[in-house]
Amino acid sequence: MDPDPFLDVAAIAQLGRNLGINGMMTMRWGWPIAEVFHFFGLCLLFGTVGLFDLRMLGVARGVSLRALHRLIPFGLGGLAMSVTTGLLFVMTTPDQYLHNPALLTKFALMLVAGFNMVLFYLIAARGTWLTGPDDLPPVPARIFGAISLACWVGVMTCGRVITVFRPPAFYWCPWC
Amino acid sequence: MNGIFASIEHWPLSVWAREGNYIYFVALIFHAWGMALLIGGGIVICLRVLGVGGAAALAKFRGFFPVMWVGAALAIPSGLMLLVAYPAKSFTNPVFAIKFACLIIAALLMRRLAHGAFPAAARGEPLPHNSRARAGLALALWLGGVAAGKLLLHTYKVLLVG
Repeated sequence: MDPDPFLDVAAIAQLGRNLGINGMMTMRWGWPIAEVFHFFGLCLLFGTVGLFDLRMLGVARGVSLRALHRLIPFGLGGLAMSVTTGLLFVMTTPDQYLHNPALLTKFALMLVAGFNMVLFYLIAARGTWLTGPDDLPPVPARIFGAISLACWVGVMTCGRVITVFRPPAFYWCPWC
Repeated sequence: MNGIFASIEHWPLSVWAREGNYIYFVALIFHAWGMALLIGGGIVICLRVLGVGGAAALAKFRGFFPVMWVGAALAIPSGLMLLVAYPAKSFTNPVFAIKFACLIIAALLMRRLAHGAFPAAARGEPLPHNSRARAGLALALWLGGVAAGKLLLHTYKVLLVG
């Protein structure tokens, strides 16, 4: 019996079947195509947000941070692609994902990255846009950049080891 | 050929890569980090050559090439480790050849951009006429390499060892 009082694995699996997600994902190429788009999204995200973070830390000086920031919408599009396809995976086999320690850590890191991004725009963005192309941004912006980069590298790492930490061999439910 | 692959799979390095404690997953993680840096750098450079973020000096984007080199330095040895663990699984799969071709051609196109578009941009000259086409093709090939890499797991036909 599932001890989780909030996330009903059987109900989520049933919802996935009712919505036709399960049928689509279990077709011959359903899962592989979703994986391809999941990784396209990650590439766009890391290629834009990750490299923006690296620039804030001093890599590729000479590139204006304000101009580089114009690539961020591609990263957000990539994030949307990854989140959508990620939901398809979870809805298809919730028993493999919902209490998986690697996936929960991945979600936690995504939350930290999102919160960090909001704080960056509230606290440090204005000073960052005033930074010259050859200069380092102010220290708070560099700290936000380092946290963001660490979070996204962590997200990627956790994603790679999800299959190692599958329930029931590994079962995490911090809220149970 | 399967005999050769089978003998490689008995090499101590191959056995270690497959059966060592989490060695295979450590190689997978390093491969992911490397590919993210390599392809992430490639995407940003290609997008800029295609005209996105036009306010930033194109020549300065040369600074992202070292990021790509670091990515390659992580991705290639870890990729070789994954390959030596299961050579038959990869070398008998045509999708592996597609992945390899996509990445090699994309890397060669980036080299052409580095030696053509970037020096021209640094001198304030217009880009060579086919630079944008090369950047667009390179972008498609980087993503094609990612797609083929993900499809490897779903398309292999030969697996000599578990």
